Amino acid sequence: MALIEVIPPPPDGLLNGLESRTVIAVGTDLTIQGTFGEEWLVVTEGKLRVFEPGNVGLPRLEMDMGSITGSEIEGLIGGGALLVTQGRETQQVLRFSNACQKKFSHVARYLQDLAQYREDRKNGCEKKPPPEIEHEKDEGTRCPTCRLLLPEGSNVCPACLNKGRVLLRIIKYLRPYWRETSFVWITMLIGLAIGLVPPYLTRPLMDKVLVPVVAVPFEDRMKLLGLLVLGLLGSQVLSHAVGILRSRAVVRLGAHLSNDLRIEIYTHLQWLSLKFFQKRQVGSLISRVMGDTQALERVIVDGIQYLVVNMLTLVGIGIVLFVMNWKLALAVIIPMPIVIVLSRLSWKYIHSLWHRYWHYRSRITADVNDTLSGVRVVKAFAREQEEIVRFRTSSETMMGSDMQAEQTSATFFPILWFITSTGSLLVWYFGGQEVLRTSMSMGTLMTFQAYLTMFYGPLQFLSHITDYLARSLTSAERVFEVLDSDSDVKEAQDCIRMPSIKGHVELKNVTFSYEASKPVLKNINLDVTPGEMIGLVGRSGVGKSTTINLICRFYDVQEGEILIDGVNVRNIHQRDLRSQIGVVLQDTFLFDGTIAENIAYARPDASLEDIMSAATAANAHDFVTKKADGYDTKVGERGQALSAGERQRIAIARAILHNPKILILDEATAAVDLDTELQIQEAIGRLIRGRTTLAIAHRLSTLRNANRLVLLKDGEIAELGTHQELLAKKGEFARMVDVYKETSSLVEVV
Amino acid sequence: MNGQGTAGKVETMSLAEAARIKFLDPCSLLFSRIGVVLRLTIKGERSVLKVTVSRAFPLTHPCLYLCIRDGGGAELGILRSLEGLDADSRKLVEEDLNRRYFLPVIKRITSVVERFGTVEWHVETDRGAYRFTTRDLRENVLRLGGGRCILQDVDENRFEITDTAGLDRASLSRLLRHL
Repeated sequence: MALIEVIPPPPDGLLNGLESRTVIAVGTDLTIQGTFGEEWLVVTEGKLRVFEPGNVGLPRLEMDMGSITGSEIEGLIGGGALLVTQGRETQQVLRFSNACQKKFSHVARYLQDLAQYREDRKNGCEKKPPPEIEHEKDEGTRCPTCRLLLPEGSNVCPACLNKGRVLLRIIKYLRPYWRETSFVWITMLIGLAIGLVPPYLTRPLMDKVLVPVVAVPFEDRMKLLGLLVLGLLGSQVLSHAVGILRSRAVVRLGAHLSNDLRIEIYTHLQWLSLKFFQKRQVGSLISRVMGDTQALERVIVDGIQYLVVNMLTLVGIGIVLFVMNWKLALAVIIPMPIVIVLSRLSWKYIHSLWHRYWHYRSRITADVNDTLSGVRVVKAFAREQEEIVRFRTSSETMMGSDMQAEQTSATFFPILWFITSTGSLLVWYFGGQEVLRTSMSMGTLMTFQAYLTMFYGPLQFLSHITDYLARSLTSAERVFEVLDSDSDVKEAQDCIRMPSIKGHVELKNVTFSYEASKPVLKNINLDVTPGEMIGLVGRSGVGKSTTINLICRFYDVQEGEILIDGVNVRNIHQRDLRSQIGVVLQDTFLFDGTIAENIAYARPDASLEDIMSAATAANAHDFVTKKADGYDTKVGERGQALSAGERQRIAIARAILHNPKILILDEATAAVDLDTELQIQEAIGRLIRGRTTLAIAHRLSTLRNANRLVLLKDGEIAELGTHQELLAKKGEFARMVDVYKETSSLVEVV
Repeated sequence: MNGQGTAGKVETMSLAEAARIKFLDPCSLLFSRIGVVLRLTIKGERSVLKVTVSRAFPLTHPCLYLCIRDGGGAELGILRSLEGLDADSRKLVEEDLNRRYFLPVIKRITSVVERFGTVEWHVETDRGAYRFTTRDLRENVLRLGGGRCILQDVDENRFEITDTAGLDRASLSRLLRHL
């Protein structure tokens, strides 16, 4: 196997005339001096070389593979360096930006493994076969034809697929409501046809009744006048009746659609992985669920309809105008190209202005949400004034962007409208001349003008449509962005149902990082037998909570695998997995509702006795029943009506009632006093019998029941064993125990 | 401790003392380098084979407060600034910082192509010309005030703009279209 990069292709002649088989040929995007530029790393069986593309004959650096004793990636800020050690000296082979991080970590691992293999062989104790270079899996993040970055989790390249994607996609939502939709369309077309009648009646009204060209008897004129006015009345009544019917149908359709969209986006949000939420503020998502779906509904209900109907009107009336008088019609058409060109030019600009305004708006919502949720902190530090100033700044930024967008629209569209309507002045002038020369009747001119106003309506709309679509399509894009973000923790297609887990948890060579350059967990190996209690200890930030997040599969591991009862968690049906894992987290989150509802969150069908038993086990029963409303006490938003210790006990009760096979306690008792903790511990002790338990605690006494302890340090397992084994080691754990003893004796003294 | 000093003068331990933060004396430090690895000798105390130097405030005060750590990541102390180091050491530390911190500064934006929610940027930076792709730029921009901002691309590479007002008109309008 070999890792030879094809995109971008290696410079010509780079791979010619090398003494042995090429194993690696990959390009980097930085020079050794740290400027952007290409360099190529070429590894053969005998040599490691680095070439500059302009100089493929002479390598910048050359080493014997045999002399390499180690290799690693040095994580730098904004990129990294490939380091190679020869004996006692470590050299920087090349540098790369974050874009090439993954590629070179494979290279470094290969070089390291190879060096290890050679060392082992020299000592005659080779255990493993010679390493093979790991192929960088083509993750398909870019379109193979046009190199466009694909939408996350999708293999469909929007550029190569369809241009009117957004519009087409919007129309798709109408499918379930085809009856309502066709009703709206039919009434729309009927309304359109009726609208054409009044101007048509104007011509006989002028030419035959009011200012007849040829003499007509007075009685006939009176009779015709009556008939024509009746006709006008009839068409107006009909037009309004159809209009009312149509509007009612539109409202009905719209309400249903926005309801569907809201539910769809919320459903999708629920299934997205935590990684998605990590990057976005909750407030900004709220505005997407509420505001943008409504805007999208507008496009679907009104936008598309108006667009089509106005186009039809434009074409239909255009034909009528040409048939009536082609010369005048031409005069009307003249300003049109200017209008179209201007509209198109302005489209992008105004679009981006609105985009910016929407962004600021959602940010301000997020800010308000943030500070109002943290109002206690604000008050505690007396920062009200500063928060007001901060709000004012962002509010003013939003105002500025709103003003710019509105003002640009307000300036641009009247100008466009003015240019458009100069056509009607031309009609008055040239048409008037023709009437004076009697080559055209008065009625025809009036009818022409009447149709003309009907012609400008849609034209004005079509020039507005840039603005209108800009607003709406932006919303649509924002909604679709959420809908398109695929959960990166995907349910495997052939996932395995595991309704009854035994609780055997295995971590094999697990490596994980939230950000590409900083691995949080490195090569973790851990085998937890069913029913065992494992205590995870270590300083903050060493990856304890991350380990737990991975077992719950809140995130997927990047390398290695996690097995439960021998099955990779990626292949286990997610609901089966989570329904058998009970989690009590550090930051307990309760939902607005009663205590009983919160305890029964995962099992709403639980009996009242179950709820009370769980609460008793969690040592919560006592304080709950002392409250006036007992189990019916409302906990308030996020459980604010309770103290931290109370919240934590409710959360434990919630996990107990869930009756999981695997119990996870992440600092579950950190917020309660020592006595209460002891009581909870007893309860947990009874509870965990026969259940696999992983517990994180800083207070070492919390872990007294643990069968084994895992001490994590810098993302690696530093020590592993029973209490006695670790104490006997006199290592990090023994030191922690000493410190702990000191502080707890201090507590006793005080 | 007696908190009732006269005339409002309260005798308290300074925060730095209380926290036992350790500042290193630049005169006592001697840096050397083997291969790419930086070595530090603290005169009269000890020699550390592998040290890394990192900035405490890389964006706002890149030249002040440098954290010096040993190979295991334990902090040896903080250097207030490079002032006072001997010339050779200073040069080595500066080179190492320069190597560690890669944050190209955009000088000119030569073209911007928006396609389906991703934006491709062609820029000239102080580290040469580059091409990168962003998505949801507004959510991936760090605003540092005073027109200074940092853009992050889809590969988690970051690019600084020292002052948006300092860009030429064409670059600025290209930038503002997406910010």
